[in-house]
Amino acid sequence: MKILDVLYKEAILSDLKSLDKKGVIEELVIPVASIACVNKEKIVRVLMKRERLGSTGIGEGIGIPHGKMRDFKSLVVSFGLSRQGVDFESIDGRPAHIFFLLVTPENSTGLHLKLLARISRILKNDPFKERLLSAVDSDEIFSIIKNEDDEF
Amino acid sequence: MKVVIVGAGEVGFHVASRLSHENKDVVVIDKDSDAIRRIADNIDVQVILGSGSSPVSLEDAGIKEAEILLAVTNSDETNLVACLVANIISPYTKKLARIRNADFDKYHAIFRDHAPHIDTLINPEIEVVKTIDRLMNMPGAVDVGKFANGRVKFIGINLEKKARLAGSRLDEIPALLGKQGPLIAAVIRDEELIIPSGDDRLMPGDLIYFISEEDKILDTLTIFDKHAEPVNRVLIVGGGRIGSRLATLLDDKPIHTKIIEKNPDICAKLAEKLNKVVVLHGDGSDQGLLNEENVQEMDFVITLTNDEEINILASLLAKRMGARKTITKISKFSYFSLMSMIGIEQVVSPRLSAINTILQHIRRGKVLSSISIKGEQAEFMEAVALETSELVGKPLKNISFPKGALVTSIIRNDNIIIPSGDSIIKPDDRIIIFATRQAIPKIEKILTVKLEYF
Repeated sequence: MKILDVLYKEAILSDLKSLDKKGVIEELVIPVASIACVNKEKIVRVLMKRERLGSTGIGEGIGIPHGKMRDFKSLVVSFGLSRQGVDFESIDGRPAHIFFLLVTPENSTGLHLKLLARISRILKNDPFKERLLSAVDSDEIFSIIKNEDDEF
Repeated sequence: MKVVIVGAGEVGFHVASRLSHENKDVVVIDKDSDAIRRIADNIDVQVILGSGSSPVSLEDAGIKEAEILLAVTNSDETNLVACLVANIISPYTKKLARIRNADFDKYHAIFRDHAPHIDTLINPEIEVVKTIDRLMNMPGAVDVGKFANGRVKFIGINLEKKARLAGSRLDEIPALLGKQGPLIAAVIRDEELIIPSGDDRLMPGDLIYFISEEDKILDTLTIFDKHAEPVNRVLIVGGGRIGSRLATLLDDKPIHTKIIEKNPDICAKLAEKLNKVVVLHGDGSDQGLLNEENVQEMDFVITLTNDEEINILASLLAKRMGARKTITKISKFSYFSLMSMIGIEQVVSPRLSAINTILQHIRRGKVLSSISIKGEQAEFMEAVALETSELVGKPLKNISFPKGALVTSIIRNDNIIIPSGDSIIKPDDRIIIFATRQAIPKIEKILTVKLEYF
């Protein structure tokens, strides 16, 4: 599947301000909440609850917070870059810079798992990661992801 | 994970100290400079001198980045305001507050669903009354905790010299009994925690912890030569919040209960509220009064005044005068280790039970409860084995458990399984783990889910 099918341009944040997990999740949820027309607070609570079961900070500077919600009709994704890095309780203890946030409907049929697998795979690709990290605005991020999507 | 604690009293102090050992980022706020100094001198956490209900102190403490707020000052009002303020500044911080006034009992759910959105209201006094009730119904038990809605319990008993298992090796027990014995998770001997294996012996004086299904407990206790004795007469000393809750509970049971309280106004209120319980005005540590009230015929004397020295003395006195059993309320943790030495066996502590409730909510993974055993060297944790976690899908012997930790039961649907190395935990099983303090961070890790978990 293509990432840009579920990641809209307005959900790409090129300069996250928060320096902690909760703050970053809040920032990333804002566009998701308006796209899905779901209360922002509810989404943050679900995602934080999921983080408590085990952090989605997978190391190498990457965080992929995600969760399931009954109120969602389809999968919605947001993307964020943190210039300074965030303590995301990552496995390797290092700060996270690149974030994909996924919220999926409760009855989702595995689409979310495919996307999660794809995101974690492309982020293993160092040149792609470097391009993302040096992107200046959301337009540039959009085109970097589009290139990746086209190759898929 | 960042945790802000409002209140540097006994509970705040202990939770801060436990969490700092588990590598969590802790900030403690209190307006009492002595209390703050005690924390700063003893524990490696950040401290802030100020009122915990003040938005400024909470912001200084970094409430916006905090995952959890614990409001555990002595004042219900301060705790409520701290949560209210935190709810405004940082709505996504999970809030836990200690609220002791019974008038709030009916409002716990409302406070959770509406502002100030307190996720968990802790009333340790309710828990203490339940513990007393459990201790009274379990002969010889000095420590009890329940899991799986009460279907499984852990019990601590002191092994007596004349008990038939005294001196025997663990692997000899099945032959001695002619059946499988209970799962013994731990033994405390001379204040030292031992996790026994087959060639360890049970010695007289040991405090033995075992796991049992609810309906087999009395049978299991007979193995240790602890036999059920009916409870007919109970004397409560102290008519404060806990004494009054307990008296209300016993009022509905076929037990002759008396309660001694020295404040005449409280006595009048109690007498109005209670039907069968006899309310006496007087001093519970007065030998003359105890004699007059036939303390020697009491099955249980339960001392619950706000003065723990009085509780200790009244319990010792009652025991000496012939009361069969005593239960004593203690608050200062430093007294715990002294108690068995001076002959006080059954002890309850609202603070300890508050700490247990708090820790359960701070642990990673889906932990349903965590209860420290006496001396706090180890704890029993009940948790849900989540899909993708390291626990599920392979034989227990292939899971790298830290030293000092073991799975003591698996609860699947309605069955309770005592596991062996070949047992396999399935997703959504409930498990009861026993772990020493040192092993807890690793256990937390085993309980957490992998990235694929949604």
